Amino acid sequence: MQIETKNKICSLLALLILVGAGLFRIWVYQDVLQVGYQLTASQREGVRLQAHRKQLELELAAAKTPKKLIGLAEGLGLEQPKHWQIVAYSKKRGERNGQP
Amino acid sequence: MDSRSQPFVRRRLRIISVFFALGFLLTLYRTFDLQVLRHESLLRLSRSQHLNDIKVPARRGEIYDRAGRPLASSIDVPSVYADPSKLEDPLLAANILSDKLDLPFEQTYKKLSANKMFVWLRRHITPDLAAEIRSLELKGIGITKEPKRFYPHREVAAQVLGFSGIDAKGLEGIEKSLDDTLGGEPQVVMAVRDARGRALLPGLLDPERQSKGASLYLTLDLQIQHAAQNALREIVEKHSAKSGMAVVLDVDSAEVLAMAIEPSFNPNKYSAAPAENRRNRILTDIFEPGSTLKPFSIASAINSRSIHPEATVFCEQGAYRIGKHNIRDTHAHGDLDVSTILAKSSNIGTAKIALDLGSRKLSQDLGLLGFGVKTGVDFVGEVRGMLPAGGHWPKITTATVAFGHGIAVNALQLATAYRVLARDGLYRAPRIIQKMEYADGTQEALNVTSERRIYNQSTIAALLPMLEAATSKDGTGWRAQIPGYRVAGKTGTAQKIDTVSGGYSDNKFVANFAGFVPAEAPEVVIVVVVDEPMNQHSGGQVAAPVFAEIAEATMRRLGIVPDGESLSRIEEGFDDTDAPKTDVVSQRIKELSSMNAAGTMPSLQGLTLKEALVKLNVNKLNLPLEVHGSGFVVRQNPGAGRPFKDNENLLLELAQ
Repeated sequence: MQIETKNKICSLLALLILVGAGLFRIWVYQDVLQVGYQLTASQREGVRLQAHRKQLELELAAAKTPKKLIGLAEGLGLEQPKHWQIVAYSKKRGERNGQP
Repeated sequence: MDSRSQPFVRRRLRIISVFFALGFLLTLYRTFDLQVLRHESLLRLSRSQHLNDIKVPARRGEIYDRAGRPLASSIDVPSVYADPSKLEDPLLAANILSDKLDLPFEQTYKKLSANKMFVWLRRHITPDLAAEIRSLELKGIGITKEPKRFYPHREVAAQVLGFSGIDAKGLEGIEKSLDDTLGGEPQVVMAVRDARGRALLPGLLDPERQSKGASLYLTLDLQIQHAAQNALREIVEKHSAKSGMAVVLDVDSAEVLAMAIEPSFNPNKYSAAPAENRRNRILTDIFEPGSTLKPFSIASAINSRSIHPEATVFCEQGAYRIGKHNIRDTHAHGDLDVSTILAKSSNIGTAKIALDLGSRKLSQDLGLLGFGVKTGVDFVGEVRGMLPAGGHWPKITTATVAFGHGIAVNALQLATAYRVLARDGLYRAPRIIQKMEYADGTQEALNVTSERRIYNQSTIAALLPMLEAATSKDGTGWRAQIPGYRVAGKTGTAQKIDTVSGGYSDNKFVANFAGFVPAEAPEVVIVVVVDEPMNQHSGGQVAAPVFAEIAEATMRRLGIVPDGESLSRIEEGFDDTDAPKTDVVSQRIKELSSMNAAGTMPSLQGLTLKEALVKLNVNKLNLPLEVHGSGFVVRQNPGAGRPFKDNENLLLELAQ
């Protein structure tokens, strides 16, 4: 009788462990799925933001094109310095002071 | 169980065992069939149900100038497509879309009624238009994003960059020459998908990084390129010329700082531009260099000691006969020294020097300078030019080649050869692509070449004053002068070949100027070529002023300051029609510089800062200087008449 009860308890425990493991697996898989969706969405957002950044960089490049800058400067009354307005008292001639 | 029933039970057991054995064998065979024989096809089938191969199109690499400013870049823009099999009413859809997308109705309807699952309707539309189409919620009409090439500086360096087509394939310029490098490889990324087909866990690769082509850094400088194109455009318009081109070459590295061609085009709308405006004439077009070749004939003669730099040559009073041919000068000259031959651009003098040198040596040196061979820049369509073959030329060929006829060059070849004169006789192949940057950020320098000697330093030392003289008040190239800098160079004017008669045309010319600046320590070589200018046609009148304008902008960009000696060329009296009145200004500089010779502080009141510094000769005295304000000097410390003290600060206060 005692042995029979013991067997029943063992079987029940085994069943519970089996069901628990099954539920745990389903829970983990569900979690993996959710993280997967989040990753996909984040990746898509990353690509979108990168594309947006590139677009902004190009807009900036187009806005800083020499033709536009010169036009704006002339509109403000600026002009290239005359030779007698260029003063260099520290640099040696032949040294490149600017780009490139 | 009795003994009679035992055999029956055994028999039943055997039968059942056989059945089980057969079942087991069948299962075993089926397992083998599924796992081994049909493994590949079933695996594919299984993957197709829950895995998705995402094909990531390669992103085209960028193109930058030498300072890292973008010249060409790709951005994603919307394109409209249709799946005709899903369309409920193709007629209605065609009506709406032809109107919105500005397409012909018949063409749109034909596409929407096709027995296909995918057709492009309109590619590369604006985001606003895409939003409008999306809001229509037409079943079977979709919007996807595609990369589109964008050139933010439009006409600037357009022929160098070229352009790529709608499918991101390079069609012209560097885009075409380095299409494989820029294009990269498309990438297939495996992703899990769910029951509804949505992408899930899309691989471990970053598609943005993995499938991008390499980016290129050019040697061009955006500002110098812009200045060169501006100067060139003005002169092409002023003289109604067919075209113009200019090359700016860095003397030290032989890197191309600018490659300007006018008329230009907007590569963002390349199909609207005529084909002749889209080609890189600097590399694809050849011309007879005319007198700009003379310095090389003379340099070769000096280098091989067939003539002394101070020798004189009789120039036959303007006409010289070689066999059946006559060579003429524009003015009659008698005895001229070598320098004056170059300054006056005497064909006869140069021809005689070349005849003494001999054709073998002349052809050898011209070949070493890079004439008749490709320069080596990575560019589809570059031509080699034309140098007469062999070393034994007839006398008339030697004579004409010596002054730049019977030889054809491209503008980059000419600039590269002038760099040899600017660089103490050393040749280096030019380059236009500085480095390549791969998608992972690693960089690789490209086309780094070594130098080789062609002329001795003594030859160059003898030639430089001659080239400076050619741009002096008495030279043909005086319009190339720029205030504050010494210029060396040579004008060239060549008649073009008349395609009808086969001889030289009387009214079609190529005007050019080649030179470098500053003459005493050359930084850049500039070559300007103007094709078929009207009204005026000489290199001195047409090309030299463009040289001056480009050179001035380049010096400013490089931060090379004007020197005091050359200030004599500035201010009054310098314009396109008169030679600079150097004597007047020189005298003024001398007066200003000598005023502080006594060692006392002069009065600087009312002077500009520049004038004050010249007056104080501040560079030589090395005075610590403090300046406030701008305009004219209103206060100074130490005051006028006080003696200089060592290490005393000089304070200047300026106001308008």
